[in-house]
Amino acid sequence: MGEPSIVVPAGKQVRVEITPLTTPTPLFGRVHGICGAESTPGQCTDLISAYMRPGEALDPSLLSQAQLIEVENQMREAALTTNDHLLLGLRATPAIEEVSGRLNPILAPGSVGPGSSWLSSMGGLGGGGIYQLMSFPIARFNGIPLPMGSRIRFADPGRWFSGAMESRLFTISVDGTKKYFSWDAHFPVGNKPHDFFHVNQKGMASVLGQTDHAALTGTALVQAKQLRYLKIGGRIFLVVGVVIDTVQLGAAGYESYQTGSAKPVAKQAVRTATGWAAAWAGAKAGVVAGGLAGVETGPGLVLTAIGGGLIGGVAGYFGGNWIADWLFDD
Amino acid sequence: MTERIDGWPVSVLSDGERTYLGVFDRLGDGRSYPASDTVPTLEEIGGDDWSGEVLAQLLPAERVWAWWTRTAVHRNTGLGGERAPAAVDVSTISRPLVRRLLLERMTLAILPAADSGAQASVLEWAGVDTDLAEQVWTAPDGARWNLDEIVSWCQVPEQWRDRSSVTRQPAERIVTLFDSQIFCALAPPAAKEAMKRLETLARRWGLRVVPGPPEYAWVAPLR
Repeated sequence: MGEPSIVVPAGKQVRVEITPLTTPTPLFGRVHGICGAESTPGQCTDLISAYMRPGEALDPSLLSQAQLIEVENQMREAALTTNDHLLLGLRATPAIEEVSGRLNPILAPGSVGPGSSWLSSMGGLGGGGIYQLMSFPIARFNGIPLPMGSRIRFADPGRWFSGAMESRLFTISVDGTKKYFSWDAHFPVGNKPHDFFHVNQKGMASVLGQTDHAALTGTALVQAKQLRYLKIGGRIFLVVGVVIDTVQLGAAGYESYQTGSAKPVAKQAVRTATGWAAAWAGAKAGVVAGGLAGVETGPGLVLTAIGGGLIGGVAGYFGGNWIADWLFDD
Repeated sequence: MTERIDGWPVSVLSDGERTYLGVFDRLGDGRSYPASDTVPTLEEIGGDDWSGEVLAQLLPAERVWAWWTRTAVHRNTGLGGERAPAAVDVSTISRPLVRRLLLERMTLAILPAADSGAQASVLEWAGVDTDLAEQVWTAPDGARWNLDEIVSWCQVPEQWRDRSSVTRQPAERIVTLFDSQIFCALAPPAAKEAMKRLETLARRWGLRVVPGPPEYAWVAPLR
């Protein structure tokens, strides 16, 4: 496992400042991450401190903003390319930034409850893929402030049946406008050459500095590859969940027919309906919590949010099972 | 000293019945498709609405339009419309009509001729997702459109990528937006007029139209 290596320019100093956090409060408001200082040029960013050990920091008075950005990029690259699991490798304290600028730490998502069988477990994993069907507010992407009303989503069911490949890693769109920015992972669909991992965008080039079909490189490329694997995992979970639920419902219906009682199929119907509803709610809460557990908005949010969504979705799904057992307990 | 790039490639190909115009989304010398980020894009030159301005040069306002797009995009325009019958006589259309595909989440919107408000919405929103193909057909004089056939054609890439299939469709012209490019298939005399309008737009943007590679005049066939 490699430690992040930081090259400090000759004659410069390194010092750490950890952003102080205040009392925990319930989650609310938009997801901002904890990079409040990023909007002030020349100041050390929380993003940098998040990747550093306590006791170290960059002194903004001694490093230029360009040097800070360079160091930040090096650290981000190092953090993303170590053997550590990315979601665990970031050392930031999860927090939400209030309008006043005050930072509040965030409580971790709830734990996963027990499943009744391996089938239920598979269905629970299916609930974990639900985060992909929703969109979430986002304020910044890789440290770049986004227009008000920006939202991020990880899947667009409309594309699945439109002859389009589901190769879009995420889409950031701005409510009420045609502006969007996305990362795609596919080979050229026409005769226009472009890299496998590339940008697809309209109206956001001036904000994010990348034109349509620009190749993803450096840290963005690493992030895109990781996101692709996470996304594919969530998709499989979702499909498995749907299939398993269908099988379970069918089996319960047969049991009801054999026993002359509506109880088995009714119980399974409640399991399925509440499981998916709760998984939906759980995934939504989980993604918010997971996003807040990230050190930034952008791929940091994306990756940690998906982790949170999986946990929240699974927890919600098992909650549905528990309700069914309680309602129809023999 | 770096030479200023002001060439805007437009590929032209003619098979006698139709002329195909392939409008690039970025500048270049026209010899090949330039690599991303090596030359300015039209978005940088003409702003966010560059594609709408190009479409305005290619789509005659006095004709009925059929717009094949994503339902979400159509909803964003606020156009609405009555449920379209299976077949329509284009000379009788006075209000927008729609045919929606629920599962595919696609919409075929039929817009009356010279409905400037509705047409402006199409110009603004068409091609918003560059990965998905959109089509805009314009109706020939006195046409009776079978909307199911138009939908079926638009749904199948093998058909709209095939130039010989394009030629057989009951359209005065077909504009396809795909992969950030804008393609237009139309009769040769109309193509000359369209090229003049594109050249005028180019001058307004401080550019000059240069011929692009012929293989970029229409969407590449599926391999």
